[in-house]
Amino acid sequence: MALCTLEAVTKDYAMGEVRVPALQGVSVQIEAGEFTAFAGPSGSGKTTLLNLVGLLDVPTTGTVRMEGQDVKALSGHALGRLRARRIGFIFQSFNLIPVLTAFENVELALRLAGEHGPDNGDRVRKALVDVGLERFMDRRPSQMSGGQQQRVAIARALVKRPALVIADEPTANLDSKNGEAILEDMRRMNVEHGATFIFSTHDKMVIEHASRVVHIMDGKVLQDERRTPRPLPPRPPANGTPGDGTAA
Amino acid sequence: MSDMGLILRLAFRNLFRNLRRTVITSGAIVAGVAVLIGGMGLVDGLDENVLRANEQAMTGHVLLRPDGYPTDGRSLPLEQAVPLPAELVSRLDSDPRIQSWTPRTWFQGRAVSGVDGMTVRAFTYDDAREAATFARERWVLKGAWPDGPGQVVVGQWLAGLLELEPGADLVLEARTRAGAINALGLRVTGIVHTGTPAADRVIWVPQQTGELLIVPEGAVSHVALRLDRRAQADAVVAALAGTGWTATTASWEARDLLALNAFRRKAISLVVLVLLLIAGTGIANTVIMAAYERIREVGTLRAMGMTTGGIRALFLVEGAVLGMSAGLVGALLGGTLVAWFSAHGIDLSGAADQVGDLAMSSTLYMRFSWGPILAALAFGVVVSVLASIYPANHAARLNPADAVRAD
Ligand SMILES: Nc1ncnc2c1ncn2[C@@H]1O[C@H](COP(=O)(O)OP(=O)(O)O)[C@@H](O)[C@H]1O
Ligand SMILES: [Mg+2]
Repeated sequence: MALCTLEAVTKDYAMGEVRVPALQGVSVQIEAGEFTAFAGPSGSGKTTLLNLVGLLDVPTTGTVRMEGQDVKALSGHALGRLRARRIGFIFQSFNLIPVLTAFENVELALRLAGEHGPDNGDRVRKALVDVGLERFMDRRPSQMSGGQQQRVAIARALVKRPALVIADEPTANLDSKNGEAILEDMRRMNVEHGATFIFSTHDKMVIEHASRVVHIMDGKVLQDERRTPRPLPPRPPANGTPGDGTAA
Repeated sequence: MSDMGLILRLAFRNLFRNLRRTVITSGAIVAGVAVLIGGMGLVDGLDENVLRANEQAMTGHVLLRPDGYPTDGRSLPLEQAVPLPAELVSRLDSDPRIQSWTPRTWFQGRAVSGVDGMTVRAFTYDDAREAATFARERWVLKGAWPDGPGQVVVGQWLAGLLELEPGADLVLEARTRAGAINALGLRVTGIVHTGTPAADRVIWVPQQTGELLIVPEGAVSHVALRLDRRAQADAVVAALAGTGWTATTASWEARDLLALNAFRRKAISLVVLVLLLIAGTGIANTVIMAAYERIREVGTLRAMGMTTGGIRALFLVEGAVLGMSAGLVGALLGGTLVAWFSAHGIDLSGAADQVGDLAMSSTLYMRFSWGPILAALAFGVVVSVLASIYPANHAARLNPADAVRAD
């Protein structure tokens, strides 16, 4: 069974009187363990597609299935629970909660997933160590670089061991060095933990890391290619700072 | 979303995010709560002051007058004073709640000292009973109490007007109970300051001297009773019905002033209500701004699975914490003020002229009690939570897909 299925999905946005057709009949199947890129120019519908796969929004027509279940049948509350337990999010602007430390931001994901076990602290620490941030656990987002913040976001998305991680242009706000490092971290999570990733990008470098690239244009799938991703370099020394810059 | 610990932590930290805004917003709540507590402490103190002043120098806990004798305290018709019936005396002596009682016979006259003369009020009293019934130890006496015929004590305020000192002479003119004009030369042995204006503006005439001047033939116009406890006053008043004497409580005697205080309480409440309305508007504004600034955060929390109820709770708790902390600061300010002035008192002697003929002690002690503090705190929190409802609902209704992308 596919992890996630879109069948003839359309999505229209209303802009005043005008209807904007953002997706015009998209059918895609995501299998568990894939590292899939949705590639396409700005405005092509990548974010709209990720919002549907991430259960943040519902399609205008067509069907979205998550682990076989038609999400149309689910209440907003049930969708929220599914997101909390099964889906991790990584955002273009990191979207950490500014009043919480790195540790607390990651812990937040566990608490919202309804996990209150005694090993929560260990899990949070491990997730942060996995992205090389063991020395930054008590920092707030404002005290970290963009690259570090995005690593916290990766730890936050993965700590609950989700079925699916959605990343909308995760490197768009980072310089190329940090962007590359983030992609490598995501790949490592994919390889080592078997986490399924779907991310969007229009960056060639990022696409090279994908095992599958779905090309989107004007709300339609142009091409769906499987490819061999660039080999993953050996794990860098765990200090969490390959460059500190944040792209403007 | 039942993780209240998480919501409280977020709400607390969010208040410190824009500390200046939080502090400014809190100002009106702090002021409202402090004014409410301070104001109520002041007025409760006024109440207590009025009552205690009456009890300790004028009326005792319960005051008796012959039926038909005017109760307005202005006119003092000597012809309506009557001798104490033996039956009443035995009831007063046998009631275990009554510690002691003392008769006074009030009259009007004219005091002449040197070339000055003025209309004055005076009463005759029984020295031993007065000492047992009133709190003489709290009064300040310059000179001495009379110990022989022809001697009187003068209230401090009146002594000031007539420029009398202990040892001075004065002539007191008055009508006898039968209506004849009489006058007596008197020696002032002491100047008394009770702190109760109504008692400090009169001449205190010991019974044996009063008999020579107004010839009351045992007639009495007032009897003041001292009880074990103030709370017994109503029951004692009821028990003394049907004696031919009208009994009233100290608080009834002070009803005009107490009513004035009740009005003051309303005025304070109105001011506080206005302050809290202003506070509510400010808090609503702050929470609305917070909700707009944090759209992306709200979207992120929703994406991570926080429910609409959780988002709503986040903003409501933030409002509540704001109201609670501002309320606590206000309560601390107001409570400290009241506690201080309940121990040290406010000297009103300079204002005694405005206090007039009313029974009021010239040092005001505020009255500390928890009631207004808790009420003000609760009110502050309720106002804050009410003000947060609209922004909280607004944030909860955001579409997560739009919200995560907001700038
Ligand atoms: N909330 C919205 N309201 C109206 N139009 C929208 C909204 N979101 C996206 N669109 C439009 O839908 C199209 C696809 O947008 P989007 O999914 O954001 O593309 P991408 O992420 O590939 O840049 C664009 O034309 C965009 O202007
Ligand atoms: Mg996009």
